[in-house]
Formats: sequence, C-alpha cells, structure tokens
Amino acid sequence: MTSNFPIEEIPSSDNVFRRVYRGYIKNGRVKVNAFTDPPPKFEGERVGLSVLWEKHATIATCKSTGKEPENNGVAALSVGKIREIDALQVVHDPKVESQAHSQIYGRKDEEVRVQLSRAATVVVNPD
Amino acid sequence: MKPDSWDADLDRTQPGATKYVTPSGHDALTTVDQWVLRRPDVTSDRWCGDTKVSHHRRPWTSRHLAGFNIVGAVESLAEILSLPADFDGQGSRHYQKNTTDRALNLLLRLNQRGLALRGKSLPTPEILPGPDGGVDIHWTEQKFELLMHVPENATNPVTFYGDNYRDIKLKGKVDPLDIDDSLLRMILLQ
Repeated sequence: MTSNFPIEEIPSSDNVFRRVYRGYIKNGRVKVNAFTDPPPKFEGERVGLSVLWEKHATIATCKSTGKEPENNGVAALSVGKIREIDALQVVHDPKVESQAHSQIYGRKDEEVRVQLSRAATVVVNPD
Repeated sequence: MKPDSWDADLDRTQPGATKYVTPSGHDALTTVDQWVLRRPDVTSDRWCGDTKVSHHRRPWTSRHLAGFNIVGAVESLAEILSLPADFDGQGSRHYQKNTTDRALNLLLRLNQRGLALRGKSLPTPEILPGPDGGVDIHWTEQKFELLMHVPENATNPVTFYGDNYRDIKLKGKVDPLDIDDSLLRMILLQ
C-alpha cells in the first residue's frame, strides 16, 4: 500500500536501524547472515534490506517490530558507510505504518555481507 | 538403524569401512557417527565389455579429519537442518539435507587439502544458516576473515570472499574438486 509520506533524501551523516534476530548476534557483532534480502513476494519485485531511518524512528520502535520483539536486537548502521560499500543504495521507502521505513538496495554477495557486518553496531541486545 | 540402499552398497563393497552411518539418523544428528561422510568425487558406473564396474564413494576416514572440529561442524549443520521456515521472522527457508551435506563435504575436502599443503588443519569456522536456503561458512580469525556460501541449488557454485583486514582480498568461486591453493593459504594464515 502506498503511503502519503513524502519520500526524502537520506543524508549520509544519518544512521539507520536494522532489526536483528537473536541468533544473528554474537560477541557484540552482527553476523553476516543478518544481511540478506527477503525473498520477493512476486516475480520481478525489487527487494532490499528493510531498515528504519533514525529521523523518523527510535531504537525502541525498531525493536518492537516483528512477531517476537523479545527476540530482536537492533543494529545501527551509518548511511555513509553503507554507501561506501560497492553498489549499495540507501533509499527512503515510507510505508503507511512506518514513515521511517527505508531500503538498502543492491546485491548482497559475500563481500557486501562481510562489509555490512563490520559496519553494523549492536545498540540493543535481545531480551 | 536400517541403512538405505546407498549405504547397503557401500557396506558390501567396503567391508572394512567403519566411518559411516545411515542418513536416516539426520533428525537427531549430534555426532560424527550419525553422519554419512561421503566423498564427493564419486565416479559413476561404467562398463568393461559386458561387465558393469561400480565405483562407490568411500567414507571419510580419520586421516582426513586430523585436528578438525568435525563434531562441531556436524552439530552446527544439524541445528541448521532443524530450523523451521521463517525462524528469524525474515522469510528464511527451511534448509535441505543435501545442502548441509555439501557444506560438510566441502569442509572435509578443504581440511584434507590443507593437511596436504601445509600439514595443518582448518581453524574452526562458524557455520550459519545463510540466504536463500544456502549455508554460510564463516571464519573470523585474527589475521583474516573469510565467508563461503554453499547455495541450496547444487548446480550453482560455492562462492566466497575473504580479506586480511587490509590489502589482500580474495573473491570468487570454489570448485570442491579443485580447490585453489591461494584460498587455502588464506585459511591457514592463523
């Protein structure tokens, strides 16, 4: 469903938050398998990593999303650092239920996943 | 446990073989002895005149495993097999035994090549449920980081990326039957 929120340009100086499943955090680092695109819902759908832009969201709102919030940690990533990774784009993609919703588009091959894992900082652990 | 037909063949042709078990034990897989350790370099049946000659896979033996944490690897793979679809709330698939078997075979082969090249076993990687039903094999060592991905689709290649946190970077595909020495040298940098 299309939202009425305007699509904004996300500055490279901002951060985005990524919900991270409990099993994808170890020793304060987000594992490489936390950075994979979801399967497309239909053929040809452009999929990306869902993140929340800090301008319109808090860490707490990020943690509270999904079916089992108690199993969620939250990682923060610098938009500038993401954009330094080859071929990744960070795009504001607001939804009706979330003005903060954004996407990290681009192929998540092994190199990209390693780089994203290094760039991420765990800001909240699962309960 | 009743062996399947493949293992029954193995049993007849290799009566001395001891390092194998039935694949039906995968549901409760926790030790090496519950795992079928198959060599991937199987050759198919061929005919010599009117005689059919069968080439059977040989089980892995202890000389391929020296020093490698095989039990840890098997336990991780068993855990991955037990994960339900969407276990992470991000649309993950259920994992297939064929995929985890190929991941195990790759590790064993890497270890075998490492022993041959440097006389050293592999450092223990973390084995993770990867994207699209594939398995990730991840080394995070002091001197290097390396990620391999074993895809669900066996016709797709195993791909990898690794670096030494500085200027040396390796990226490409792994042929399990012809493992590149430069890749092994990175893994054995420890």
